[in-house]
Amino acid sequence: MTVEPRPALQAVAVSAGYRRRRRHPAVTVLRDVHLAARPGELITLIGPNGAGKSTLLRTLVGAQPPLAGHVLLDGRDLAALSPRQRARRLAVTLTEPVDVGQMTVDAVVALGRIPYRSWIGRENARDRAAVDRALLDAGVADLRDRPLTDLSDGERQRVMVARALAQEPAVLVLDEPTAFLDVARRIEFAAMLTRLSTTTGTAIVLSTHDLAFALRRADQVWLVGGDGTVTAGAPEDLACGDAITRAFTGENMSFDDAAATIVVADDEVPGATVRVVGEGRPRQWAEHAARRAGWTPTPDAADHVLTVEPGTPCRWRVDGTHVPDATRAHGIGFDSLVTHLRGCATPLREDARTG
Amino acid sequence: MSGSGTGVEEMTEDEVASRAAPGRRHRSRVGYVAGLFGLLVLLLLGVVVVLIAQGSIPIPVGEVLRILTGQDAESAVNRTIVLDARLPKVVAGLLAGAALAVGGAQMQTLFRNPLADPFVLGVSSGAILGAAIVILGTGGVGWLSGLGVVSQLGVTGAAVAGAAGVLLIALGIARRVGDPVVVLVVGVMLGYLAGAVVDMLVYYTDPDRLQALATFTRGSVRNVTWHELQVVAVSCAVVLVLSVFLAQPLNALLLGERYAGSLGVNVRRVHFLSLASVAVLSGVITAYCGAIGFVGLAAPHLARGLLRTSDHRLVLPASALIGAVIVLVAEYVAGGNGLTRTSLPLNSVTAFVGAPVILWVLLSGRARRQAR
Repeated sequence: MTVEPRPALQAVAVSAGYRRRRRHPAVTVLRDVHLAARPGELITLIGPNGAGKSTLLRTLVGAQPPLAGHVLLDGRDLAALSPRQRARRLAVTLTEPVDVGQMTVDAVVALGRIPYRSWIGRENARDRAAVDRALLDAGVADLRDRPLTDLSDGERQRVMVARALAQEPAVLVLDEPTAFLDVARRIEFAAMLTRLSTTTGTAIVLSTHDLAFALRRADQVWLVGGDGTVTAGAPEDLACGDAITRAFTGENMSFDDAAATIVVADDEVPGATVRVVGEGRPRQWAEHAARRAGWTPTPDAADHVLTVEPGTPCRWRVDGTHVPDATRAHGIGFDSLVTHLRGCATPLREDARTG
Repeated sequence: MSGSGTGVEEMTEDEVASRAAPGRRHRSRVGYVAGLFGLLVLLLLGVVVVLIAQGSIPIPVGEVLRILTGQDAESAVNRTIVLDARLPKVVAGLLAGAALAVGGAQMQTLFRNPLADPFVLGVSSGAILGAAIVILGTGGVGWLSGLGVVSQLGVTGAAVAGAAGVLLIALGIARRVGDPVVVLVVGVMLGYLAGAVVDMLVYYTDPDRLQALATFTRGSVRNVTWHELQVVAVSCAVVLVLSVFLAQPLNALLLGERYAGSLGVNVRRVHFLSLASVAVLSGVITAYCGAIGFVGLAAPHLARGLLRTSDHRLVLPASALIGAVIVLVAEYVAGGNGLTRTSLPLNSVTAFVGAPVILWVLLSGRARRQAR
């Protein structure tokens, strides 16, 4: 049997919430939360707006005290640590924009060494080594002499991660780090975090609204349910069970397993099925187009057959199994396909709406 | 962290090279910064000597240096002029410039506002109000000169308290409003308000002093005596040295209060210490030299521009040097050169440096926001 490593960050029977005013009764948002982040784990924190993600994060980093229970950092109670001791074990990146005036990337990252420095702020060799290591780990070593103001959003986000890493933390908490990044930067950033968690042994907790990303990358997902509970588990366990569906889906929504995201179901038209014939990507996107037009693609025999051939753009043909059939047509490009399918489905859609 | 040890061996040659490179850059940067500080010190010494040598009775530079270094002077008159007439003025100007510049640099970080400074935000006016209340309340015998040591300290304390009051109000508003330009206007209004109260107080108690007050509110280092300088020198020197310890926490505050807190910085304590030091620096200087404007605003910006960094460990001392140079040069232009019989208020000169800096900050700040 392997010995379970001591959690880097642990919540034991934590109740979290806030006080509107001093001496007012506290409003409890989350009750009896048990969580454990092991070293080297990448954990995503998800949940609908207003469920208490921010409250949980603020409690876990010690920005507000838990109403009950304990937050343990490296096995020691967060409340018992001095701010400096805490800053040597726990680092954060926030969503608020940073305007440091004139500072190079190197100088900003070096601010992460403040918890280790004497009151006068002299930098020793150990500080320098930690800053160099953090710059390399976050992939911003090439930017070190550039002013922070010159950088793109993605680069700035990495610099803030490097600054946090310079604290040499056991736990790194990131509040919605990918919110302002485009898709490619987001994927790069996620890959960097995965690499970081495994190479440095830091436990990384990040909150995100990107469900697909949260499920694909995480070793563990912490799901804030909106009913005052927090569920922890492997992403597959949460997705396979109905925890995520329950937490996120409103009316007319469902969890799409293939895309690992929530989809709106209001355009689905019962009965209008189509069998898509074709190969590879053209076939996949033809199904996408059919779904967008409000049809349900199915692998089984259906009333209609959509045949698609590769090309730029792709050629398509729709045949009805009944003769005569008004849906029979062919064309080039998915735009005309969607227009055609929508035209065929219109009577049905109106039926579905009035009924 | 277990991984960081093994990672060093895994580094490629490129990475090793990129780690070696900053060493060279670091050395050239250190050279630049050291050279800049050297130049500033030389400039300051030069201005000090010129200001002592020139005046209604010119004294040769060699003679000035002999007197300053304690050697025998050619004439006792020269010695008296240098040590008793001109040196107090120069020391007062030097301290005033350094104190206001360091105060301004701290306020700009504290308020997260590039336009903050003791004069612009009305802190100097608050100091004058505090001083005026004590002077007039205790019988209005005179404007500092002619007061005993105890009442001198009382007036200085009242000035510091007045400065602290305006600082607290301005910071309270700044934390709620956030927009630097709004805070600026609020500060200017607070200054007008305090100034109006002072005018009313003086007018109804002792109309004859109104003229003296007018010069006082526009700044002058000329009437400070050795006797008074003791209070200024001791209090400013202590606070200036203490503010070295604030440099690192202020650096953390550049990231914002929440980030500073996450770095283990006690944000409330830093706010308190920094506010207290700004109140002492600007209060004391205002009590003895009047409200000297724009130095606290311009000097830190010039320091950051020259150093190309916002690091307070460098910006605070560089601001002090630049502030001292600005005030002394302003004093030279305002009449210390001996070319004219009369003299200008210092603010008429410092505005030439301050106003363009304010405009430059406003316009470049707007340009940067639009670029995003």
